[in-house]
Formats: sequence, C-alpha cells, structure tokens
Amino acid sequence: MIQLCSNDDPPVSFTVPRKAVELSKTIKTMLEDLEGFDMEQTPIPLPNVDAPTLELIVKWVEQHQDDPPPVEKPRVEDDDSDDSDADDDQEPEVVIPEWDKKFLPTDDEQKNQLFKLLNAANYLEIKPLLDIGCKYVADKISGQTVEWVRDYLNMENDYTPEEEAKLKEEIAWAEGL
Amino acid sequence: MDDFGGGSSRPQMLFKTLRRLHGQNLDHQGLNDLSEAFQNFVTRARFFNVGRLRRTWSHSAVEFMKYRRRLPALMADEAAGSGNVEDDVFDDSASHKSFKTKIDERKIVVGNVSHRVTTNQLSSFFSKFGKVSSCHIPLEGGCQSMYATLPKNRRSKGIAHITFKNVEGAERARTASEDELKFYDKVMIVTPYHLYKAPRRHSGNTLVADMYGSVYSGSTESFDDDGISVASSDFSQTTDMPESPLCHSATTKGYIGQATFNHFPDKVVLNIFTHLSPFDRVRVERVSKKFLELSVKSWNTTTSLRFTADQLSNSRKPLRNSVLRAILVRCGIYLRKLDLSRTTHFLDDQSLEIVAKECPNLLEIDLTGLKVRWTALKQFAESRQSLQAIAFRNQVALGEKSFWYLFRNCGNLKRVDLRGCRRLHGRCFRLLGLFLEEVLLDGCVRLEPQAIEEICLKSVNVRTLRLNGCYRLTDESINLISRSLGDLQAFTLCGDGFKDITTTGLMNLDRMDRLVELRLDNNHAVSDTLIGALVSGAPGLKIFSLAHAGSDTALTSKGLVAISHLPDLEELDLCHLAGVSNAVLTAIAKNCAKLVSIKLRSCTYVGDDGVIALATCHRLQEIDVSGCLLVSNRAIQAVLNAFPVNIKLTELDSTPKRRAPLVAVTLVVGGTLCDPGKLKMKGSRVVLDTSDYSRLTADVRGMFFAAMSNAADEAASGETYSDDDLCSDDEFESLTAQ
Repeated sequence: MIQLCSNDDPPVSFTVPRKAVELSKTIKTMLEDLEGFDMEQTPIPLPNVDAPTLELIVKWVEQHQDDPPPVEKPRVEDDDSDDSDADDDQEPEVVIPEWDKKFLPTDDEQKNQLFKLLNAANYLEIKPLLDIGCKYVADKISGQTVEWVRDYLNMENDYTPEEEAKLKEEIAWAEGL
Repeated sequence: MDDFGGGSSRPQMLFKTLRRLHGQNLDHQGLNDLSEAFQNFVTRARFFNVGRLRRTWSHSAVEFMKYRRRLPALMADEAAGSGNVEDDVFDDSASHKSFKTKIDERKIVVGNVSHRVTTNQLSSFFSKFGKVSSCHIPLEGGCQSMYATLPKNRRSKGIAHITFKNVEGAERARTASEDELKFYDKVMIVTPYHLYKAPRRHSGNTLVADMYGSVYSGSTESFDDDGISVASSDFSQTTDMPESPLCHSATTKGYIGQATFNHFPDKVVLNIFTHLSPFDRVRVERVSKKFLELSVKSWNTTTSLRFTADQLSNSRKPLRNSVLRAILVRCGIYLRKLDLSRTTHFLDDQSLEIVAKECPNLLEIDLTGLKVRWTALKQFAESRQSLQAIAFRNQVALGEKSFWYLFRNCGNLKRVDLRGCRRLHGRCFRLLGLFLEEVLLDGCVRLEPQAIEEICLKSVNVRTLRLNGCYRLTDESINLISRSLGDLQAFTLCGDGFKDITTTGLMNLDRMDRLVELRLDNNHAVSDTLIGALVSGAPGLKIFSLAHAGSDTALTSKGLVAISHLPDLEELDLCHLAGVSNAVLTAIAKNCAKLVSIKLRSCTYVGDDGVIALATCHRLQEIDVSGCLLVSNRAIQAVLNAFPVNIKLTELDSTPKRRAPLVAVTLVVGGTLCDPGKLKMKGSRVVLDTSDYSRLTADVRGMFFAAMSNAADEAASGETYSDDDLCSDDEFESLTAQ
C-alpha cells in the first residue's frame, strides 16, 4: 500500500494499493527509482493535486487496477471483405467505458473539477484517464459555437475585435451551424 | 535562498528533488545544461581556432559529466538517511548543499524581457553583474503561420535563462534594483532558477510549461515562499507591453485554486483537439490565440484524414473545393492518407489539383465519387508518383485511358480498388509491377482475361484478388492465377454469370495452398468434388463462403462434410445450401474449434441436433439460423445455456492469465420455430435477434447480381460509349509504346 498526500493544508492522505498507483507513470518511475526504501511508510506528496481531485484519481485507479496494460499490438493485416473500415493507421477511437462515464464529473457545475482531474491525470501521466477525459471534453465542445466553447472552458478572448473579425471571415465555412 | 527551509514543506521538497532528477515529463534541467553547453561550444567554435576549441569542448563535456556524476551522489545522500527518510534526508549536508549551489544558484530566470532583445544584447546587459557563461531565450514553438493573425517568425516567450560564471554574479543580479534592470523600456524580473513558479496570471502557462515540461502547477500557494511572492508582485509592476499576448493586462478573475483552460498544459489541449473533427478543430481557432496556435499544431499528428457525412451534418453542406483547400492547407503536409469517399461533395478536377498541391506526402487516397476527366487524373498522377494505394470506385464514365495514365505514373501502387469501374478492360495492369498486393475489381464487368494475364505476369506478389462479377474471365484465367500468384491469400469469385468458368477450371485453385479467404458465393461451378479438392489444397482457410453456390444436386452433404477438415476455420457462410444437414454441422462443430461466425440462413434441412452441436464451439460470436424452418426452442435454449455470462476460469482452454473476452453472442432466429417468449435468457450472454435475414439476402443478392448481369449483357452486346476517351486496341498499343 502506498500513501498519497494532497496539497491541501493540512494534507489529506489516501492509501492506495501499489498496483493501482502504478497506473500513474510518474509515480511508477519514482517508486522504481526509490527501490529499496520503505515507501509504504513514506507518504508521497503531490503538490499539484488537491484533495477532491486526488480522491477521484484514487477511485479511478482502484477501479482500473486490473485492466490489461494497453499493449501496442501490431496491426494484423486484416483484409476484411467489404469496403468498410480498412483504416489501420487511423488513431484508434477512444471509447469511454460505462463505468468511467458515470465516474467523470460531467455536470456543468463540476466542470472545474473535471479540468482539475485532467490536469492531475496529465501530471501523474495516467494516459488512459487523460484520454477519456479529453475525449469527453472534445465531445462536449464539438459542434458548439465559439462563444459557447469559450464560456465552457473559461477561456478568455484575447483577440482584438479586428483580428477576430478577420479570422471569423477566414473560417466562416467551419462555423456555419 | 535556502529552499530547504520550513519543516512542513519537506515532503514537497522531497518530491521536488526527485522531480528535478527525473527526465521525461519532469524538469529537463540536465538536458538544458547539455544543450546549453553545446550551444556554447558552437558559438565559440565560430570565433576561436581549433586549439581553443578543443579546450572549450572538453570544458562543456566536463560540465555535463559533472551533472551526470552528481546524480548518484544526490541519490546516495538520500539513501544515507534511509533509516528515517523524512528527518534526515534534508539535513543540509555539505555535498548536498554544494550541488544546489553549483546547479541552481548560478542560474537565474529573467521575466518580462522585451521581444526585441537578442541573446547577445541580454548577455552583455547582464554582464554588469558578473561574467555570464550562457544566455538562452526560449522561443515559442515554431508555428508556420498561414494566417495574418499569427506572427511570421518565432518570437521569444518573454523570458530568458541566464547562467553566471560565479554565484556572486547571479546573486548581484537577483538583488539588483528595478532601475538596474530596466532594458528596452521594460523592467525585467529576475528570479532564481529553482524557485521559479508560475505567477498566478495569464502569462503563467508558458512559463510553467517551459520550466517544468508539461507539469502544471496550478495552485502553488501551499508552498509559496518569499521568492514567488516577489516574482508575482514584480509582475504586476511591469511597464506593460500591450501587443504581447503574454504580458496581458492583469486579469485577476479567480484563477487561484480554480483550474481554467488558460492554464492547461498544451499536451492536454492537443489531446482534446485530436478528438475533434476537422471542422470543429478549425472552429476552435477563434476561441483564443492559444487555441489557434494549438489547433494548428494539433494537425501535425494527423496522418489520416477522412471526411465523413456526420462531420458535415451540422451544416448539411456538401464539401466544396474551397473548404477542402482550407483544411488541406492546415494538414496537407502531414497527411499520408486521404479519404474523400464518404461524404457528399462537389469535388471535381480542381479538387485533384488542390490535393496534388497541398499533400506532398500522400500515400493513399480514396477518390470515389469525384467527377474528374482523364486530363485531371493524368496531371494528378504525374505529381503524385509515390502513391501506394488508390481507390476510385464506381467510375462508370472513366475509360481505359484514364487508368492507363494513372498506372503509368504511379508504378509503385500497392493497392488498387477499382470496384464498379464498368468500362475498365484491365490491360493497363501491365504498367504495374511487383509492388502490387491488393487488387479489387468487383463488378468490373468488362474486365478481360488479358488483364489477369498482365497481373499474373507482372505482379506476382498479389495477396488479395477480388473478381466478383468479372464475368468475362475464363477457366484459363483461373489456371493462370493458380500458377502464378503463389502468395495469394484472399480470392473471391462470386456471381452467377461466369459463362466460361467450369468446375474443372476452379479445380486449379487447389494449388493455392496459402489461401486464407475464399468466397465463391452464387458460383454455379461449385460442386462436391471441388470442395474436397479445395479443402485438401488449402488447409489454412479461415474464411470460407459458399452461399447460394453450386446446385442442389452438385453440392450435397457428402461434399460439405469435407469442410470439417479445415481446422483453422473462423468464418463460414453456408446460406441457402440444401446440402447442409445435421451431420455436416456436427462434423464441423467437432473439428473446427476456432469457428467465430457461422451463417446458415435458409438451410432448410438443418434441425435441432445440428444447432445443438454448434453450441460446443466456444469461440462462436455469431450464429445465423434465420429461415431454418426445423430449428425449435430446444436447440435455441441449448445454445443459450452454452454461453453463460460467467465462465469459471477452469473451463477456459486458454491460459487463465489471459482472460478470454466474454463477448456477446448474436443468435439470429427469425423464421424458425423458435418462440422467444418461452426461452430462459437469464445468465446467458447470447443476444437473440428475431429478424429474418434469409429473405433479405435472397432479394438483395438477386437484385445485385441481376443488375450486374445486365451490365454484363450491355457490355457483351457491344454497346459503345460515345465518350472521347474510349480507346481502341490500336490506340492502347500506341499509348503503351510511348
């Protein structure tokens, strides 16, 4: 079991099975480097992750600890009959599993939590979690107007009006909703 | 600056130290030092002679080695305190301290640097505090701008890394007053290298991304110390630079403790963009400058672009040349694969020009649906000679000449998909060579035996050959194929209009021992003896399709039983065969343990016993018995029971470590005696499908082949197209001679 500490004051610590925590590449590499230390006793501080986010992360890694590691399977030359998906080098479509769909903080009020989760997943290098999170956000903003996207992502419009008008004209074909 | 201060922050410090030591996602300091050392070396190399040079080089190398050597030393420091890690590690032991001093204290990070400042200017400016050993101004990620709104050249991020020769120089620079740091109308901010944190501001993201790789330190307040507060307060004093996207007028809108997208690491945003459709990806360019930059950047991982109807469904506008150009301008140079076939479009000759111009690295293209003339195709082929795969289906208007030009220029084609090109004679295949691997010519009703001769002569490496409905082929073609194409793995010859192909001709196929897939649907020439020969000739078959094949007298259960000698069989299609009986199925179920899918539509002589026997094939995922009039609940229930939701590990034939994926099994039961209401479905992973596909396939196939034979008749009746590009034999010969 490994202890993880959030960055809150005082830090909140979570105890996670080592197998689960190794889904995070960052922590895994660290543990490997510190081979020989009694890491069970030493809480690992995560300066970029706060308690609610860490709780989510812990929940996710515990759920997914038995997942088979994503193997880079060599594409088999499958010359399947009809014209359909012969797309082998297309990036494999990320599918959000059922459990994760319920797991992700998907309410609009919780979107900040979602962004924090993405950040933490990136920081801890939990690729599958990052992928499904990004996929979710992508689904959310696809087909939406620019203004909506800005609002949803708390982005700030840093174009000058002239710049924006020009750009808008340039890509008008992509905006026709 | 003693960063190993207060006890409460020790755990963080442990992590920070580790992070510093780590490559990858973490701080790239070691690499920075190396690249800096190398930069030094190059700069000096320009000015000094070789003798000095050698010394310089060794100096840089020593610096790097020093860093490398310190790694284990620092690790050992920490190991020394292994008894009580928390308390002992961070005692400022001498060696530890000296490491810190050498690496960090000589280095400073300067913020709010004017974009006009060059490395040389900056380094001479700072030399008033002490001898500068290196100065580095990181540039924004190079983006080739194609919009007026982006700067043409790579500009600096407004920060710089400066390493002094001595600690004192850096110390003096850090303590310098504002006036001393004024340069190009801006007051620069000096912060120690190791302490540098993101000011909680807009400009933070670039700095953080630079300092910690992609690590995002959003809420830094928990281990803030003086250094940072100084940095951030200094930032608010900046003498402004309105045109810079990085030094924005302050926006304090609740960033503290709140993750906003402005602060996101580029990696995350890029990841999101890769999930967006081309249109969405272009649209988000207008969100903010950062998004524009990243959106443009996100294309460089896009090697394959496929327009699908649903991407356009928002606007319901067909794809036009202008839109195609706008998208290809962004991603063309990265594209290897382009598919224009799945959307409604108004693409024509001009589109080919655009593609040729914008996509220099294209290897595969699907042009199905484009309305082009042979001149455009010729031009396209001339500019894209490295093309490896082309699909151009259903081109009823294009004649031999077009394809001739295409093939002449693209001699390296690996895959050719010309299904439904009714006017293709196929002699142009002589222009293709040994690279050819896949040839799909279904429905090319005018394809002549000569085409097969050319393929067999020139392209002996063909692995996949589909000739459904190429009704002009003869026994001799089959003979040639079986003699020349020894590597052939997939061969299809479906259709009921082959007038010149007999059972004797097909018998030649038994030479092709590497066949994996064989489809002879509707082919009248199939018989018991043929099956027997094929099974012994190609024991590795995985996919075998015989729907509607042969006749009731020629193809009987005696012949079909031989199929059970194919141990690798995965997919079997025996629809509408009167010869399929319980005995056949029992034999197949017994010997073909790898079977995944079996279709038995309208096999009217199949009874319960046969289906029950099938239930012993544990890998089955699809069983289609629709229209099998004799199959009743007894058999269906047996199948339901045979595929429980949970399998005990001991039952699995494979090793228990590799959990066999428990996929759903589809069982199609429409048109049988089965009454779904009386079945016990609980605990079974079988999904019942009550539709009856037997009628459907019969109708569709009927129509399809009728249409095809009509076309064949048309072709046979010598009806000519009045088009200009129809070549006579003589003309073709002269083209080839060119």
